[in-house]
Amino acid sequence: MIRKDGILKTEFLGFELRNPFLLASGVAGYGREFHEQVGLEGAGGLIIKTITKEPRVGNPQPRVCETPSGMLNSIGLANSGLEYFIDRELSFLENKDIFKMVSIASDSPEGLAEMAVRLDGIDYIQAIELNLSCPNVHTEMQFAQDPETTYSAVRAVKEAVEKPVIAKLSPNVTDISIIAGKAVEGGADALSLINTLTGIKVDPVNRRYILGNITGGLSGPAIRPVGVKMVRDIKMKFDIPVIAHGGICDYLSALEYILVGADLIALGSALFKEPYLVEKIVADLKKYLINRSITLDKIRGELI
Amino acid sequence: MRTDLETIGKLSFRTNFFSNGIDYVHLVLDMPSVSNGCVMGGEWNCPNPGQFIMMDIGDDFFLDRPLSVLDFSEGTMELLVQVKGRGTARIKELPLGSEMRIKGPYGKSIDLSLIKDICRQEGDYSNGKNIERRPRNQCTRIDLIAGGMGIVPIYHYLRILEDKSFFNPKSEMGLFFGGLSISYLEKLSDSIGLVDLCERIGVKLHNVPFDMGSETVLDRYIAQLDSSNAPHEIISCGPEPMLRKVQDLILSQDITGQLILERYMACGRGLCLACGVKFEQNGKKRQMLACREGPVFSISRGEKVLFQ
Repeated sequence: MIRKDGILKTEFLGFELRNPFLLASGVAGYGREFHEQVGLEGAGGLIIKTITKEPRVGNPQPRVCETPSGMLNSIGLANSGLEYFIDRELSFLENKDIFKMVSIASDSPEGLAEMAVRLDGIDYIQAIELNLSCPNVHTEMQFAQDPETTYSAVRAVKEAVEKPVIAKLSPNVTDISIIAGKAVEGGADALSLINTLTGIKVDPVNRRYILGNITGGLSGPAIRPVGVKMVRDIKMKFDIPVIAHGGICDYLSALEYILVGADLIALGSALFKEPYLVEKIVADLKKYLINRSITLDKIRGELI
Repeated sequence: MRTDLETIGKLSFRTNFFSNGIDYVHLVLDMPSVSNGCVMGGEWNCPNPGQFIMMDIGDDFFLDRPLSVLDFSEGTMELLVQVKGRGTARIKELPLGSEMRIKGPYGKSIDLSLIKDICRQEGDYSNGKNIERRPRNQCTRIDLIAGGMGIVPIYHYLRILEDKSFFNPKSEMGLFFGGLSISYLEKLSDSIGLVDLCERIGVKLHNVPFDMGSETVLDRYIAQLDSSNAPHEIISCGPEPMLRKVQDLILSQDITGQLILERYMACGRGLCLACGVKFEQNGKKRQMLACREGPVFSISRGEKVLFQ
């Protein structure tokens, strides 16, 4: 017999989540915005949008456009800065019953470590995600495109904090498992992948680029096969928890990732059109499991 | 959990017109769930001028489309859309009876509190009984400047004036409407009944076709300004180069203005952060989101949009 209540409960880094679904960084604001509109009761976890030490206005307009089965964005890490977050937004999260991770970015390992230390003492934040792979920031080094910088960034943060550290990796590399190996060696507690694929959309009628930044990051179902392959590559080689991102828009696409070993599933740009996507996927996935009398743990990684 | 983010609009009427090589679509959507009036803070708020909705245009489209509202009354919403890409081309082909998922309304609207103060000349107030008359030096003169599709929120504003029984027999309030050609302005006006609306409420309509020479709608507007008709406020929507000049005019005259901007956006509700507008407030630069803090931006001494 399968227990129907709590059938989706998932263990992750020693925490128990009510289900394996996370609101990905950049689609739920600081949590407050999403809470006001939809509620934070549905998802198992929340990744706060990437914060940098100083405020950033982001890239020139336009910053988004639709593409076949997806979208490009070049927001450029627009955010109000770490101190604003701590002073003005953090307290909202204190009593929210949801697994909370904060995503941070910086241009140096020391910068990342310094930010992580500021967050380490906040007991209602459960983990720190290192955004090593934002494709839209020209001036900052993309750690996750080089094995050694990936190692030094993860290592610097791990040495500085006690909270679990999750490295978010870029798909814009020759072999993601080499980078993943270095993140593991640096001490990462889990990996988060994939970030967006870099891309360009041209407006052929007006003969110009659509995005003000020219290039952007591609997300949506278009990138799902890439994400599924990369999650599989990593789960085949390393015994490390993985948060899967990339084109998840229903329970079937979530199952694709689970079958190749994903521990958690992050929902991203599909939430813009479907604000209640988590609730829908949770209901559909429960039905799927109950009808087949199976558990998530039974099928997780079944294909690898 | 709230479940009132969206409602259904059923396409009941659609006309297309073509001008200067571009297609335009006028849509009427029946929204039965809001036919009994709108409840503020309740199920679905009535859109006010300047606000927009996000419309799901089908499973083949990953993102909703942000669309400015042309009119809303008694459970009927009207939209006017210029066909620019794949999504708007889809909107042009929507079959009658289509049930569209609609989120919103989103954004800050044009400030309607000034309406009661708008200047009207003494005279025949055939349908303006409830309006307090004021001497000219105590009333507010507002002018409207629209460029192309910028007419949409301005039209909605005029419809609100009409609903509030606004009538201005001497046409003190002017609408300057610029567009690509005479035929464009006429076709667009015909499609939405702009000329009749302006006549009903006594707003003087100045059509300024751009192909008649080098005169832009703003040139025309400035040319007719003198001390007797200087406005207190300008409300304007249109292409950004035009809005930048309107803002320069507002600041140089030391009056106030409301500019309505357009942005690409993915969500419409403050999450994707795509729709940033750089703004300066009392010397401090900050980023505002067109979807929540706009798309209507109030301009005055010390407060201005920093155009790209």
